[in-house]
Amino acid sequence: MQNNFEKQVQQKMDELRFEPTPPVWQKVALQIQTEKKRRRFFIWLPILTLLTAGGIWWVVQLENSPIARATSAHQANGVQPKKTAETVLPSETVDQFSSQENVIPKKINQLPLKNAIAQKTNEPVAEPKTSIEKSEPGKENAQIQDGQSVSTSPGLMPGAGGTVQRKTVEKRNATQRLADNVAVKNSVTDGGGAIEKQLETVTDKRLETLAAKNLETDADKRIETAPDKQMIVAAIPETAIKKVNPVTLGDNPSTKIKLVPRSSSEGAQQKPVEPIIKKPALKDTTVVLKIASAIQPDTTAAVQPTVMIQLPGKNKWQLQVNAAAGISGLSHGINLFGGLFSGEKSMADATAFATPGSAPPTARRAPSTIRNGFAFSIGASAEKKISRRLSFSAGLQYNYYSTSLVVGQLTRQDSVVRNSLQLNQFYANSGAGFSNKTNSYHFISLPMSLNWQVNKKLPLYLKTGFSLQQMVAANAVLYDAGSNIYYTDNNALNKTQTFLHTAITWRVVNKKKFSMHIGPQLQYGISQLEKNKSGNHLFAASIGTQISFSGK
Amino acid sequence: MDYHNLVKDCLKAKPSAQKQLYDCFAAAMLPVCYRYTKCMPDAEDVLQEGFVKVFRSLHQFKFEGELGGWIRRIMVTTAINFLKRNARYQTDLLFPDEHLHAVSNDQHPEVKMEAKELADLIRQLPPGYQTIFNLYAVEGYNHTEIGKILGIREGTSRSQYARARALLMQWIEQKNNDIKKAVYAK
Repeated sequence: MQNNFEKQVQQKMDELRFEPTPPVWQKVALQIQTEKKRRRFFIWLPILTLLTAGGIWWVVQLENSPIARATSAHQANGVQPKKTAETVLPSETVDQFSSQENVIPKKINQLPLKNAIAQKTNEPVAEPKTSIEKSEPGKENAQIQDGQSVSTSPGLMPGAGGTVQRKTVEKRNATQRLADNVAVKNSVTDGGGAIEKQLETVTDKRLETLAAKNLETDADKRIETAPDKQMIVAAIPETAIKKVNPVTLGDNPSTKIKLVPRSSSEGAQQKPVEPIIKKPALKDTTVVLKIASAIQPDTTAAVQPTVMIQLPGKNKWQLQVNAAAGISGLSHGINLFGGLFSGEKSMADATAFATPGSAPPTARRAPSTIRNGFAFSIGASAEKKISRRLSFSAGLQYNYYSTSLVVGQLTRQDSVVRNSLQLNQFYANSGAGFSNKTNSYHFISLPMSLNWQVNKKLPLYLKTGFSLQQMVAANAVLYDAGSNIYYTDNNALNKTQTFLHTAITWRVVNKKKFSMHIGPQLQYGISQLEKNKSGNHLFAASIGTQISFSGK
Repeated sequence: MDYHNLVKDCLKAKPSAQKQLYDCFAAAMLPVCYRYTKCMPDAEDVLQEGFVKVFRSLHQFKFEGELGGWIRRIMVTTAINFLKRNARYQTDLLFPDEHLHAVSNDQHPEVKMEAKELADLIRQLPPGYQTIFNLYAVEGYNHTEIGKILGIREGTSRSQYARARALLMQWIEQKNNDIKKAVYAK
């Protein structure tokens, strides 16, 4: 119902044009690009995960190769490796092998591997270049000098607006470089005493004085010598400084605006925004405040900017069925990835039942390595939405883990191990007739997880949580170094275990009644497998699938 | 102008197309934001927020209406949301419940002034009047729609508009007189 006055005003307003300042577009472009980069990252994430999983698998395979096994045996006894992994070791070496304290540093351990490979290919072995070279005094100094020259470069400081940030970053870099160099020092000091002394003089003084002192003061100087200190202030948005002009009421003094207190006006006069309950395709109930629905009077193409408010209490539990299959193994201590990558462990490490005082035989077969075995899990859980992208799930699951090792013939004979445990049968670790034996562990678990949808537009989910697992059965043999036998004793195992798990899943099917997720998952037992504090933890890496039923 | 290809390129996230779209509409949309806010930096903030929304929801534009009109509606919605969440504008959105809405169609002054001057006059309207006047007179919403947008009664919207209109007409008349005097003085 517009008349001429409104038409004139409308016409005048349509004529109006203002050119926005350039920063407006820069901010818009920045926001759009950030979203685009974030989207790209999440697209690449599953691919990277698959590549990582493939890499892990490849490393595990590589570690299981004959060369790696030969190298492992060589590391244990300090002599040239023989062609088979089942090397006969001297008795003293077995004790060293079973001792957890005599672990050879990894960086030094890489050398025998090179030697072994070189000998196989008849190629000359290069001079050992360990991390010792990295900590040569001259080179360290050069590194630090480089760091200084970079940080003092005036070209890096176009304006003093970011000086404070840069200073922080540089300080952090200096600290990082210092930490790196100290790490180099530490890695070398593990190797030997002479080198340790040499490096103490080099690293402790020089690194701390040169790296920290010079780099820290550098940023301070730059702030003081900044050409225009006002530029620092210029970083503050103009809107934050500018005061708002008071609104004039015009020339008519009689015009008074009656301001009604918000509390009274809202209830009595302002009709609250009408909530419209939507029934979306997905399972959650959402209340949509259609603030702008009335802004589209005539065209149907108009967007409806809405404010979505989740009411978490109205979501129902959803039933899920989970299944996963993969590999499992033993990891020593918290070195999960060491355990994952190695793929196998020495049985001597796996059990600490070696009798300390008993005199071992003069020469005997080394305990078998423990290899990764098959693992699977199956179960059901209930999931409840906490927010639009976050949900909690809890359920019941059966988990099977296994490892494998090589044992001798089963001998039925009364024997005593660990001074008190009486056995009537055991597997020998000597003689002939060796065969593969699978150690299997059966658990019933109560997993609890948080599931987070990484991006609302992508069906990518991160899942993390823990599970309480109760061992219901086990068929595992343990090694006794004193008797050089493998025996079964389930009482020596921790029956109740706590596992941490994490998974990345991709929703591959999203039907009305059910949806399916697939992705890699990792489980790690934070409880030790054995009661004797051997430091062995079960882990499993698997590919899992999860089917959620919406119940509609 | 056919914006089909431009929109398609924007949907492919081509930076050049996005910049072109912005250049096409920014100058026309900034006055829309300007009329709802109290200062130009605020108007630019609204413009920026509005364009981010435009690019985010461009896939919803089905070419059933004019692209300019669609963007304009987003800008208006963004401006109102900006007023609602910004403390400085809270009082602008408190509307007393009045029942005075006699809008006469007779004897309105002719709008002779420049567009910028008129926009500044609208921006000088008292809190509440400005938003309702903009929505009704300039954007073309009816009072029912305005009531829904602002969460007020239709009658309140009518009475507020009537007051705003009367006040603005009075100011325009004064401006016209000033212009006349200036002409006679010459």
